[in-house]
Amino acid sequence: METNDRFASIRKGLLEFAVLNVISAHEAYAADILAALSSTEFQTQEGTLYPLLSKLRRDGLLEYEWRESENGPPRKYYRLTEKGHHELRGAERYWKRLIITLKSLGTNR
Amino acid sequence: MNKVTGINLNGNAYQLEEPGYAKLTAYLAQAREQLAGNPDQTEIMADLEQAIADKFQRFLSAHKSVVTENDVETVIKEMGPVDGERQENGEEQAAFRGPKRLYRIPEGEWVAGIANGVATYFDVDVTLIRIIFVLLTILTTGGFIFGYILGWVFIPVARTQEERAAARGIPFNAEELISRAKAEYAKLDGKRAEWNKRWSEWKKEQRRESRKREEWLRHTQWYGPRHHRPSAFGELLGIIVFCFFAWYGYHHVPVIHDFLDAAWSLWHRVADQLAQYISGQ
Repeated sequence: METNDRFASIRKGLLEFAVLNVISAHEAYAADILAALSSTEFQTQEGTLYPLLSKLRRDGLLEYEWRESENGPPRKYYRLTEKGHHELRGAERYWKRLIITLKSLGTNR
Repeated sequence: MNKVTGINLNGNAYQLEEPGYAKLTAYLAQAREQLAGNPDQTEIMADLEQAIADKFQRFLSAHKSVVTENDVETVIKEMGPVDGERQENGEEQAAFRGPKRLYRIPEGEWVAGIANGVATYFDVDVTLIRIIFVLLTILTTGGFIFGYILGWVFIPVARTQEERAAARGIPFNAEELISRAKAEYAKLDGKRAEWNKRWSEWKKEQRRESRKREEWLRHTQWYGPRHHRPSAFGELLGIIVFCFFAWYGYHHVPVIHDFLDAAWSLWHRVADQLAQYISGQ
């Protein structure tokens, strides 16, 4: 098993924080988010993203606003809520702690 | 050349090649199934449809107004499988079941194909359902026949491949269709081989008996295999057989006589009430 495969489930679990990060930088609609993730390890597809966005919205981490687009139908622009910002900061702190813990367990630096 | 179907994706009209349409329908049905139980199912479905519509736009131009099967495949691949919360329960979810509906199934029917449809719906042997039907008829002293006729009128016949898939509750898509067609062909092949074997054995026996009989055999053979009778005729035959049984029962079986009399007077009472109601209006 390659390192890449070993981390598949971790990447899947972190995807929602990746999405929150993208949205925290600036308001975004679905295609923006996909484009931002496309060149990273968190590359994903509509089939995964849409249900995830709806879950995050239900959890109160983000909200959206319909906005007209120049060509085509109006789009949903997502932004983080106060709770979303809070959650994201918490996740970052936790992630750092995990890395420190992992390093402190061994000598392979 | 391919037949084209018009579709409406979240308010956007598109023309799709028929095989592509089947694939898209299957994809959306699977997405809906994955999102079953999700409170935002409708909203996510609308988002997905919109995303698909946006992607289709890419394949269309002034010179190309139809989305081909290939385009649909590309778009579905880009969209990726829809992740429902259900998928967390393991990979078993891959064995997705389509919507299940009750249909009358005319293949191998005795009267109207209701027993056949019910058997398919519950995935049990049709003989069992027929026995239950007969028992029900006896227990309700014929009343069940009334229900059967109602079913005859109100349960639709599974005519298209899609409806047949729904009768079984299996997903309908192109691959499924092909695999089922193959299985059926293999079955037919097996039957044909068996039939051929029996046929040649029988022929040998006949030859042994006498030449005259062989001539007669060739004569009957000339008519060729019997074709499946058209379904309208089958239904008519069913009605005639039913009428005969009803007539016979009325004159020779006291229970059926009483039942039909009761049904007749009930009908009169209902008709009277109805007439009164209408004239009272």
